Amino acid sequence: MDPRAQIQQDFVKIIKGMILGNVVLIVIGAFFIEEAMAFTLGLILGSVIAVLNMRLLYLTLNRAVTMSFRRAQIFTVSRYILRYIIIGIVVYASLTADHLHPLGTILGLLLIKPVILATQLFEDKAFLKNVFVRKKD
Amino acid sequence: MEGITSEALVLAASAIGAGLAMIAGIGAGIGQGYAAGKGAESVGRQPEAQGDIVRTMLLGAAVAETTGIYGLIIALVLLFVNPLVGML
Repeated sequence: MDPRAQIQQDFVKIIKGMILGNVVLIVIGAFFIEEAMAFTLGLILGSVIAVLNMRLLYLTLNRAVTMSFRRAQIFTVSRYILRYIIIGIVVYASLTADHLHPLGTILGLLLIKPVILATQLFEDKAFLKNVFVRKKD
Repeated sequence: MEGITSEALVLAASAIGAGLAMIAGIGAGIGQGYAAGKGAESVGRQPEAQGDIVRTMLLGAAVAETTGIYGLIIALVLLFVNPLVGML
C-alpha cells in the first residue's frame, strides 16, 4: 500500500477514534459535571485543536525529512514551539472563558494519545496475544 | 517572614512551580528535533522509504508531544486559576 494513502487512513482512524472518545466523554460529563454544555464545548475545542496539531506535525515532518540533519532539527523544534504556543493559547482561553470548561479542553487535547495507542498499537490482536509468549531459539 | 502574607508566599511558590513544570516541554522538543534529524538522515540513505519513515515518526512524535502538554497545563493552571490560593 502507498505510504501516503496509509497515513491518510491513519488520520481517518484517529479522527473516528476521537469522535468515539468524545461521545463517551460527553455522556460521562453529562452525568458527573454540572456545566455539561461548557464541558462539551471545551472537549470539542480541545479535540479539534489536537487533530489540527497532528496535521501540522505531519506537514512539519514531511518537510523536515527532505532537509539536512541540522536544518531538520532546527526546523522541527521551531515548529514544535509554535504548536506549543497554540496549545498554550487554547488552554489559557479555556481557563479564562466562562463558557468553556478547562477540564473538557484538557481532556480533548490529551485524548489523542490513548486514541493513537488504541488505533495503531493495540489494534493488532495477534501482537497482543503473543506479548507474553517467549521466543523460541 | 514579616511583611509576607501567606497568599503572596503561595503565589510565589506557584510561579516557581509553573516555571519548573515548563521544563517538561523542553524534553519533548529536543526529542522531536533529534528524531526528525535522524529521519532526515534515513531518508537521505533510503529515499524510497520516506512514507514509512514519516508515518512511524508522526505517530511517535504525536504521542511524545502530549507529554509536553502535561507540563504546560500544570503551569497555566498554577498561574491563572491557582487552586492552592483557595485552600488558604
